[in-house]
Amino acid sequence: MKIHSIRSLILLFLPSVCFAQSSSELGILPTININKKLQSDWSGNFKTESRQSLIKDDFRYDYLLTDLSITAAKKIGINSSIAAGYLLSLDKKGLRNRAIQQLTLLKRYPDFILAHRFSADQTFQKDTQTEWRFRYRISAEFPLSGQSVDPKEFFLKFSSEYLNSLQGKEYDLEIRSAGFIGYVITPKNKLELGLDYRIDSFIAKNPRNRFWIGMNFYQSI
Amino acid sequence: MKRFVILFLAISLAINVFSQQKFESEVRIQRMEVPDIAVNLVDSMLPGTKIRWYKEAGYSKSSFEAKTKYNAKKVSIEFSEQGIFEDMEIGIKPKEIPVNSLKRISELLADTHGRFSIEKVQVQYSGDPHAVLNHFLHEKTGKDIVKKFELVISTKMDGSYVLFEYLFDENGTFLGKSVIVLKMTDNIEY
Repeated sequence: MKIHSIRSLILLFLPSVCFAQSSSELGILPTININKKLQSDWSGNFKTESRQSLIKDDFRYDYLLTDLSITAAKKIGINSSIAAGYLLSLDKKGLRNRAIQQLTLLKRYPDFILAHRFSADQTFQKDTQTEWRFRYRISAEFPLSGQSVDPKEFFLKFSSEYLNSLQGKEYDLEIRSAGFIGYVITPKNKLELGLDYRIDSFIAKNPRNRFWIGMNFYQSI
Repeated sequence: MKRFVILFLAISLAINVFSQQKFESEVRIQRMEVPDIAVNLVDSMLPGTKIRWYKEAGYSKSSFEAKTKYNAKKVSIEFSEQGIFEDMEIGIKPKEIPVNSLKRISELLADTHGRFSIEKVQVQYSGDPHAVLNHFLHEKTGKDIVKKFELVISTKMDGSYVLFEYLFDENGTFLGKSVIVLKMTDNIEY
């Protein structure tokens, strides 16, 4: 049953890939995510992510950007929460500011947990039109032993995200699919390693394929 | 002396709070790792059914659990570490609880929590394993069966959402409750 579920979800999360006349890039994407539980179901989240390119046509290391974000979330049900946050992105061109709003719905099944994340963000940058994005992400976490993910156990995580972007009159759709293997170190922290694939620009231009080796660390305090 | 009493009370309170929390971790195991007595009983109860075996560890004890689906219902059979039958749990809908029992349960939950939502219900059978088997397969009732209802509810306590596991007897009389410790899900939320 579990293998069947995993197989079905991989197929669901795997978007159709078009490589014709496309550009490809491979890099690393380490992330640190710290979550602090507060009173009355409030929580604060701090996330930092650094994007570094390793291969683009040929092998060439290139530091791309660092994102720093802070989010305040409030549970609105046992399995649902709303959040608002701010992200600061630092790259070679300078600073970008982003406002984030999101709604997350969790569904706990006997063998896995499914999360739906609906979010919107607005990116502001000097001398550039505001970019509006509307995103939907579906993620699932499967324990590799037992029926729930417990300390000292491995798990699999799959996610697929659809990002609609509007900047001026220009619309683009980006699709992200990721697969991670994770390990629960203690009840309060998790480590993940996997591949995050992103494709965009395929509507109006030649598709851009990006593969990121993701290394995620989550700490709850 | 006063400090000692305060310290003793604080430790007692901490132990008490700890004991009222429900935290279980289970690991999938092979049937060969389960005591024969438990395997034989499950095989006689559910012949030809695909069974998944787990070893479950809680705060105070560990046990073996057989899980399967039978007649489209989730069934789990729990055994002690020595393979002694403890109980059989079957997933049901709230409306399958007898009307009078459900009324008593709902009244108690409403009095205690105000607003609440039923997340999961299981009927639990314990007692003589052969009587439970007869009841399960042939719906024969017997004196040797103890029937209970286990309900998981979500509600708000001190401004925060919590999950409780309640246990009631077949008449809807309260037997016990514990808080369910939710596991970290930050990695699929952010």
